[in-house]
Amino acid sequence: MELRQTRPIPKYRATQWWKRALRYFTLWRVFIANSLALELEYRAAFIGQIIIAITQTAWQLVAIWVLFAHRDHLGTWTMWEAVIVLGLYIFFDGTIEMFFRPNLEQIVEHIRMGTMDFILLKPVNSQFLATTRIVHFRHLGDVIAGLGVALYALWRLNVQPRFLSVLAFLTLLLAGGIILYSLLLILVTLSFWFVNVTNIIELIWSVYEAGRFPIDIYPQTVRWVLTFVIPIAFITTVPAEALLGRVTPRSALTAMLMAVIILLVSSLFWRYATLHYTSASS
Amino acid sequence: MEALKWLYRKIKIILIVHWARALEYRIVIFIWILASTVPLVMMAAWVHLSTSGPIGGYTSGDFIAYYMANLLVMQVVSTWHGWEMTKAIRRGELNPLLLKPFHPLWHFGLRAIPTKPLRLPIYLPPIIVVTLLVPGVHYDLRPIALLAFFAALAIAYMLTFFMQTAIALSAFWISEATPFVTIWYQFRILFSGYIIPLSLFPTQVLRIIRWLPFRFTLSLPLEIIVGKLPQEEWAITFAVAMAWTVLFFGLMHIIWNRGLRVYAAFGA
Repeated sequence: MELRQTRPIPKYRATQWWKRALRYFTLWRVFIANSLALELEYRAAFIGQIIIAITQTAWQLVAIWVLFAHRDHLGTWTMWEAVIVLGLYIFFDGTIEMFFRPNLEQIVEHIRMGTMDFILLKPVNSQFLATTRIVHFRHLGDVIAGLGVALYALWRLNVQPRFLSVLAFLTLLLAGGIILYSLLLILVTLSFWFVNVTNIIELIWSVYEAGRFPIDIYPQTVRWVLTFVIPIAFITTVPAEALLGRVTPRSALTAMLMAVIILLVSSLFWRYATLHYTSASS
Repeated sequence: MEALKWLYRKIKIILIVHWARALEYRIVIFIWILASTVPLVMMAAWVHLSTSGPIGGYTSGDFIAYYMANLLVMQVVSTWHGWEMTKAIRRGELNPLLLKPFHPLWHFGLRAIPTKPLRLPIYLPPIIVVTLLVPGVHYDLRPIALLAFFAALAIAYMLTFFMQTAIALSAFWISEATPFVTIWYQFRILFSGYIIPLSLFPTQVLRIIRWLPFRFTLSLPLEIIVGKLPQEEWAITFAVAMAWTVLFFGLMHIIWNRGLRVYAAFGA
C-alpha cells in the first residue's frame, strides 16, 4: 500500500538566508581542507602534475608561435591576442580538472554503486554536496599557468584595460565557469538513467578543444554551433574580447543570460533526476 | 625453424584474444577515436591562414589532406601501453606475465594491434569523401609511394612502441613514472607532426627536429602519402628511421633486463 502525503510538507527553513549561506560556505571550506590534505599525501603525483602543466602549456605556446611565424593575423587576432584565448582555454581546462571532473566522475560512480542514496539523504542540498565535495589541487598548476599566460600576453600587448573591461572580464569569466559547470552537470545527470554516459560525455566534450582558438577562424555553421549549441565561444573567446576591450555589449549580455539560464536548467534537471531516482537500496 | 613456428602460434593466439576483447569494447573505442579533435582544430586554423596563399608549400587543400591522413595514421601507429605498463609494474601485475614462457613485452606490443581494423573504417570513409569533394586535396597513391607508406607505418609503430616502453620501464626504479610517459607523449605529439606539419617549423628548429626519432613515429608516413617528401630523400630518411628503431629496441631490452634484476615482486 502506497504511503500518500495529503499535503506537501513545507521546507523547514530554520534560519535566515545569509545564515544558511554561511553554513554552506563553511561546509565548502571543510571540503577544500580535506581535499588539500588528501592531495598533499600524494606529493609525487602533485609535483608530477605541476610539471605536466608546464610542459603542456609550453607545447601549446610553441604551436601558436609556429602558426604566427607564417602569418600576422588569425582572423582579426594577432599572436598575443590569440595567446590570451589559449591562456583562458588552459585556465578553464584546469578549472574543469580541478573542480568539476572529479566530482562528476564520482557522481557516476555513486549512481553505479548505489551509494548515491547516502548523498541524497544528507541534510544539505544534494547538488551542492555532489558537485563541490572534491577538489583536485594538483591541477592548480594548470589554472595558474593559464591565467599567467593570458596576463603575460596582455602585458606584451601593452594594453591597459579600463576598469569597465576588467569588470566585464571577471564577470564573463564567472559566466564562462557557470556555463561549463552547468553543461557538464546536465550531461552527468543523464547517468541517473543511462549507465554508460561517461563515454558520451568524452565525445561531446571533445568539442571543447575548439576553444583553443578564437572562434572567428571556423566556418559560419561551426561558429553557430559553438555559440548556441555547445557555447564554447562564451567560455574562451568572449572573455578574451572583454579583456582586450572589444567585446560587444550584445555578446557580454548573451553570455551572462546564457549562464543564468543554463544554471537554472541544470539545477532543475538535477532536482528532477533526484526526485525520480529509483535508488539501489530500498 | 621450430622456434619460429612456436613464436608464430603464440603471437596468433595473443592477437585473437585481444581481438575478442576489442570487439567487446568496439563502441567505446569508436567514441574514443572520435574524441581526438585536436588535428581538426589545427586544420581549421591552418586552412584559415592559408586562404590568402600557400604557407611553406602547403595549400589549403594540402593542409586538409595532411590532417585527415593524420587522424588515420595516428590511429594506426599508436599504442597507449606506457601508462598501463607503469601501473602493471607498480602493482606487481607483471608477475603472471613473467611466469609465462613468453616475453611479457610481446603482450604489451601486440595488444593494440587487433583494435586497428576497428579503427580504420572510421576515418577511411571521411577521407575518401573529402578527397573526392574538396578541390586541392591530393594524395600520392603511386604503388611505390604506397609501399613506402606501409613500410613507414610499420617502422612508426615499432619505434613508438620501443620508445614508449623504454620510458615506461623507468617504473622499475621510480614509483611515479606516469608523468614521464605523459611528458614523452607531449614531446611526441609536438615533434611528430601531429599538431603541426614539421616542415612548417622555423628553419633553425627544423634542422634539429628532422633528425629526432619523433619525426619517424608519425611524420614520415604522412610526408610520404601527402607527397611532401622528395623521393631522393627517401633512402636516407628511412635509414635514419631504422637506425633509431634499432637503437631504441636495444635500449628497451637493456633497461628491461636491468629492471628485472631490481624488480622486487610487489604483491608476491
